[in-house]
Amino acid sequence: MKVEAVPFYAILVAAVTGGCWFVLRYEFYRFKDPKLRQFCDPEISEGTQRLGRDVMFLRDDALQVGDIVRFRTARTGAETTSRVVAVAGQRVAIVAGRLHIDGVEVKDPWGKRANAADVVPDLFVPEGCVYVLNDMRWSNHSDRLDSRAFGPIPVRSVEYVFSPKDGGG
Amino acid sequence: MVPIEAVKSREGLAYLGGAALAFLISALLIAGGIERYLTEDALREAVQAYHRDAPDARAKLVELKDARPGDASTRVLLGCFELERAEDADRLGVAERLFEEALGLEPGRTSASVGLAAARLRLAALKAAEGRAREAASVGELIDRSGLDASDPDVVALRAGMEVLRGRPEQALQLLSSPPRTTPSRAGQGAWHWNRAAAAILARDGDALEAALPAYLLRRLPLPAESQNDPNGPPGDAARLLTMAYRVSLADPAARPPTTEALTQRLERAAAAATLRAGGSGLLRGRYLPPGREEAAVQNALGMAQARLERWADAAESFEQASRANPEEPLYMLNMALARRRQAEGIDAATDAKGRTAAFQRAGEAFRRLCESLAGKEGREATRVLAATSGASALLAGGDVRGAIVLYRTHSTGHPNPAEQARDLGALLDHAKDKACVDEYRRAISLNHPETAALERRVRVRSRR
Repeated sequence: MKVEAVPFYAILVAAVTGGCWFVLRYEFYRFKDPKLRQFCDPEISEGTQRLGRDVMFLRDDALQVGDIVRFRTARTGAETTSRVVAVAGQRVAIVAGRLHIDGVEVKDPWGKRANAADVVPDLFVPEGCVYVLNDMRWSNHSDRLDSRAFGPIPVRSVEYVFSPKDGGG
Repeated sequence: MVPIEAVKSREGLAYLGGAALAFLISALLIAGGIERYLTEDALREAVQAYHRDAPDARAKLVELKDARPGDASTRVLLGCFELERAEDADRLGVAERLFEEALGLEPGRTSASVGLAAARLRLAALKAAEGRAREAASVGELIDRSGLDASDPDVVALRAGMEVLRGRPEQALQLLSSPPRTTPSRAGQGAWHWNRAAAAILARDGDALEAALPAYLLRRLPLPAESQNDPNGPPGDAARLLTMAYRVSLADPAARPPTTEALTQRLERAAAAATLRAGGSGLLRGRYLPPGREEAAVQNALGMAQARLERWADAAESFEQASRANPEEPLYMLNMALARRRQAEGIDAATDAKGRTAAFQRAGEAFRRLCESLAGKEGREATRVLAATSGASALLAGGDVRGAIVLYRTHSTGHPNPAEQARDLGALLDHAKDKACVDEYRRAISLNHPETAALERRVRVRSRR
């Protein structure tokens, strides 16, 4: 093997390794939800395609506030998509339709159309779980499809993760 | 060829040897990594299947346990799976054995000790009262022997559960009075809230509903699914807990809040949690409204609180929903009719005579429907007679004298006091200026009614008409 070819092969090996890593970690996911408009930023509806991060290697603390997650639990019964608003150890309260984290009202950049009469008990987000809320807080039964209806969800129930930035990934 | 050239010199041999060694070590590391990845992959898949409640979750967990005979964590995982889904002693026994196996493999494992204690507590809950307390005490000994951290939220929840089973809810409430300082698991937090709700209900604490709402939110299944195993059988645990919490918070005299404002606040919160409300495509059930007969009990509790606040229209509406949810229970219909009657009495005749009349007629109709539903039912005669009497007076106040007479005559049979019945019927006929009232008054006199003298005067007056 000629010495001059070493950088070429090194780049080739790095490219192949990086490609394998990308294929293992990411996947283009096409949303099948009907047009519920649960999310405002980025807007997601039926047919929207986003680059989702595969969660096989996801650690319990890898999810961040703002991530959109696709998950399934016994309580939801089917694949459900929602946005992370609080992580393990945080105290979540919804008072008069406004989100409070650890006793402080959060200027929630995504929440729209909340209902002041909604009854949501205060909870600590348990270890290994996250609290998810839909952006459109009170339309199209959206309050039935997030943690207000089924509590915090285990991180291990998440199937895909989409970051809040447009395009995901 | 490089290897052929390399063996011709000592240096070449050394480099070749080094390369071969490096290759061997790399190969071993890669093989080890792949094996570890595959092993971890099986664990990861099983854990994900567990949390996603996949149909093959149990099979994967059992396969994992069998593939790792010396691993306590797989037994703990499978034990937790069985414990969450156990509804009878058999399955709880399976969970108990798994946790015991885990402790046998790893004696100091905290999760196995907690799981074993939880399984035994749930088994204790299935026993009769005397055995329950004894078993609960033995769980306490297990916790002490295991050396678990007393401040661990899971341990606090277990101890509170023990106190509940031993019939000491106040001690349980004291243990659970402050929220956990460290973050428990979802199951642990669920147990914490559940035991707090159970203790509050037993202690007849007015905040029982506030404790029950998060307890339900952390359940594995939603309300309808919990209750669907046998549609004609007893409701699921969560439905029963919520129903009792509503009852204690709203309708239990022992848990009555000190002020009207406090009761109003409690009622509004409970109504928002339970009531059917308008959604985008019609009515939706409240998130915390149990199905079936439990819904009727909840609506009745709401009605009782509304009646206490003298919100008679709202109370009548709640009782009517209770009656629709459980038409077999006449109590709800009776409550509705009484609420309608009180609503009618509250309308000022001077300002709204028509409204008052219509309201009394509605109340009378409610009593009539109740009487018809109770007709021919054994053991319900007293309620039927009460409904007939109240209904007749309501129809009378609503101007329907004939309706009152028919209702009373039809449904007051079996009256425990025939003299009273005769007098009342006579009074109704008298209102309608029907001469048959004389016969009824005479019947009442013959049955030695206490107001015989007054009745005789009426007979004399009516006979001269």
